[in-house]
Amino acid sequence: MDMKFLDVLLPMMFDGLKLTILIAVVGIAIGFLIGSLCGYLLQSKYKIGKAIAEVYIWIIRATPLMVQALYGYFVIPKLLGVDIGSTAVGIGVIALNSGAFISEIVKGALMSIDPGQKEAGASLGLTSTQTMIHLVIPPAFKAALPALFNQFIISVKDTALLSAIAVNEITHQAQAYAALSFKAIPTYTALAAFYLVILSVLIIVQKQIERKMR
Amino acid sequence: MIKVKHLSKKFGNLEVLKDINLDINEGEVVCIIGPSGSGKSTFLRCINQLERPTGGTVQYEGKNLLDKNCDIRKFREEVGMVFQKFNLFPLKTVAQNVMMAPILTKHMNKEEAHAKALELLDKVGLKDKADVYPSTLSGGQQQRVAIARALAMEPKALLFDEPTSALDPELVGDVLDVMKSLAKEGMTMIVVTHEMGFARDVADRVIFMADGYVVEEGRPDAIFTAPRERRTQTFLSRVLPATA
Repeated sequence: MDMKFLDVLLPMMFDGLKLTILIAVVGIAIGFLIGSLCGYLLQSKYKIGKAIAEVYIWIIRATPLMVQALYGYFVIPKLLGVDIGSTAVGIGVIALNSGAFISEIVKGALMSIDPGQKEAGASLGLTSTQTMIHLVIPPAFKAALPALFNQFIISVKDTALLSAIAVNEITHQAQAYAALSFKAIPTYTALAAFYLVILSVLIIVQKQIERKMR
Repeated sequence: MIKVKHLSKKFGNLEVLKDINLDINEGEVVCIIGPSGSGKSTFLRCINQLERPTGGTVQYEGKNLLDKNCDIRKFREEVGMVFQKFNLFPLKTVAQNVMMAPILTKHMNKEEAHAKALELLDKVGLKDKADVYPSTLSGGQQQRVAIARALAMEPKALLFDEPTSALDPELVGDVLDVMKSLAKEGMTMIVVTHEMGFARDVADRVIFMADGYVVEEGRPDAIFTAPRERRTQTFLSRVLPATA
């Protein structure tokens, strides 16, 4: 089989990989902030904050990521009357999407901490902020880490859907090459293999994290 | 030192504590005994406001702790608590467990706090365990660490919430020995316990609670040998081994 097509396709995919990583890393970092806040609100007694978090999670979970991307790219800029680049929309969609799922992870992790830990902190004269920072967040983060990393893997794969709004990530690059070269079978086989390698690396990292935590 | 007046606590419609009155004097060891569900633990938790009482007052050195302007943290810094399930901090080493509160609340520097932690761990017989994590310790050892942790705040009094109830029988003795030596040193202690031997030997006063009331209180020899109330007699006849 002639592998020469890879001379063109591979650099294109590596180009796309930069954008995939940028969007995934920045998107999930913002998603982590959103998720931490909403996850905290979900298990708190602030009724209004909790309701806002619940509506947000409901909207994200009840619509497909692809539709969110299309809406963010074609509708939101028109409504706001501003120009938003496709990369920024991509980051926003990944952030909001992962944020909704991270909210549930964070909520579960916070609720898994024995109330006795907070009581012990309080009984020693710690403020509730000190108790949160020193006694609740560290074990909750540890408990959440495998699920958070799993969400990161999902978000990396989700970036492929952003090809629909012309984000030049890996899949979009491969589609462009396939359209020009008419080599659908080798192109998409190479694309699948490319993702397989990238995600395998992440999966190995995840396994290492899980082993270290035991 | 601590004065409890007309204290009551309801969970919804359930009245757990009904009109509790109690004065704790400095240096006194008071043991609270009684059947499960009698409100002993809730009462203890109402003293340091882990549970908010529904009525009455808790005074500490003349100040009402239920007053809105009262900073309960000051009280908690001065009156420590030891829990049934130890509640040690699992991600911190034994020494870090003991050091943490003085560093955070009294801004003690690390070296000083560490030296103090070792001194206290030595006192409870666990100096060699300073650098291990709590999960590697037995229940009895964990509870002694918890006592050291409470002592690190140099408390004026300690509240014990069934400190030996979660322990295997052979580990109870070590914890009780530590508590006995604290009592000898003059520590003010309020101890909710099922250890009748400890209450009889160490307490200055024994409180018998049932159904949310203080049914009877008095010197341990009086309570254990000649209880006045029928409820106390029934309880003691069940928990004390029959004397042949």
